[in-house]
Amino acid sequence: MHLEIVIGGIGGQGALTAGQLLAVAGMKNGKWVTNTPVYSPEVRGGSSNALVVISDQPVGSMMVSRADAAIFLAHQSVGRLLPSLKPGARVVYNSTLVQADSRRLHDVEHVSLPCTDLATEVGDVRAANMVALGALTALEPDLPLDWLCAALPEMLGASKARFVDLNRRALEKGAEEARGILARATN
Amino acid sequence: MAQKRLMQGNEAVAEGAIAAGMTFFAGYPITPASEVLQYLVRRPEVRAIQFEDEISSVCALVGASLAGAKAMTATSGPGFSLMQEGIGLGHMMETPFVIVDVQRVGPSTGMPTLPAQGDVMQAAYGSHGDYFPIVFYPNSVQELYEYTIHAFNAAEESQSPVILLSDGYLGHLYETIEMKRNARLRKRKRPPLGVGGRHFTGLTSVDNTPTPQNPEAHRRMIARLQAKQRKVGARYAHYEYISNRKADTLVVCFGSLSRAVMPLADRYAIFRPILLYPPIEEFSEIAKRYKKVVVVEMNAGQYVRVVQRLMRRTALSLPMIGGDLDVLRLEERLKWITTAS
Repeated sequence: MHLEIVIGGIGGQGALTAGQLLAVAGMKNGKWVTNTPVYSPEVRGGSSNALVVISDQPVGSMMVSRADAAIFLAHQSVGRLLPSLKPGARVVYNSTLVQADSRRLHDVEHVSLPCTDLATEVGDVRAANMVALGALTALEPDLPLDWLCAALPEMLGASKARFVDLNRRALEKGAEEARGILARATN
Repeated sequence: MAQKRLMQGNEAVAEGAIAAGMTFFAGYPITPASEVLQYLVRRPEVRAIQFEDEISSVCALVGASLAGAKAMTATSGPGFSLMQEGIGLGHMMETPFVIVDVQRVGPSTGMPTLPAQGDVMQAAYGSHGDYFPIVFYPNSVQELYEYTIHAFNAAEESQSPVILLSDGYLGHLYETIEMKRNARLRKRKRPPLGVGGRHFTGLTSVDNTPTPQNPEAHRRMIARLQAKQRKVGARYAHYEYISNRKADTLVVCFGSLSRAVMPLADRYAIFRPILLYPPIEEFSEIAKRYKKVVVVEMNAGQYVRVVQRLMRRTALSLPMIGGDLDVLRLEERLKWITTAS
């Protein structure tokens, strides 16, 4: 297994947190992982991206140039990260914030999901990153939902243990909605 | 086997320092190095203090070292510039400590959240006068941990400040590591200040007495320091060399950038010095096997000068400046420079 994932968002959306959950989940399942945060200096509203590699082998280059999968949490991230996607990459768009005309990438397998709205439904708008990650597990066979749910307590730590349940529900919600969309598309 | 953990590069430096027996840390926060200080203030076994600036931080290291403590600071380019005077003082007074420079795009404030390798020359030549620093530059979170321990040991062996270079990518990179101590820890050889006679000013000295007007004594002192640094540096002449019999080009790279070069090992031979200074002499023999040598670095061409001096011939310089390291662009430019010349 060698999986390269990019997560793009704007500061505060939790792109880096989502990257960290992927890295912890990979490590807990015996993989070699890297998570490279790349962000601009603005305190709020700047670009904030996570480049994640999960592999059976020690990771050579941690700079992702041919990503197998991507999550776009905000409109601004699409243009910036587009060149680093592999043809046929699996993509999750947060359709609450990524405009329809940006969601027409060729040559990718994608799901558009209103992650921000769904997160509010689950209980907290800040869980949009987890809804998107959950949706990615429906598209990406190498990334089981169980890995992410099981990694939550370690990633959040004792001081944030009370948020495990909310984040788990957000992950499950994203996975369920994405599976529904994919099932309708094939029928 | 030690347990695998997910750790940030800056945290690995802090853990490495604790494993090396560091008890004193002085520093001033700066992106992308702040996490080292933030991590250490939570550790009860370390006296970690935020000073008013980088100048006082490095001076505190000199004092702590004279008092017998193993000491370290972590900074980035602008702070590293401010520390240069204190680094020279540390060399003159032969006080061991470790300076970590997590490089970012400069000069001055530059682009604080983006990585660079612009301090490669400053690390060796930033202070004034003749001094011969030992400088390491690892390329992974695992190596950052291990080479922090090596840096403390090399500081004790050479009785001098040792530089550990890192960069914005490595410092903020989260990666799997196995924490295992890789070397026996070196202990302090000299008694602390206050026990016996000890020279502790910035002046040239003879037998622990300041001797400001003695050129012959100064020449002897510089020769002694140079020989000592060379000897200790040779013990740490660590590098990674990936030979390639089909290639006519040897690519020299280091730090985070070298990680982006490694996937090209099918096309090029690769030499990655982990010890940047004193330069690895063995390199000149390795370079003879290749028609072309390209030095790729995230600066306008700094270490290429060292490489040329070692080889006594011209090397190609491929600068990758701006902090937006793009693997495809690197691949393209390497191809272009090796075919165009």
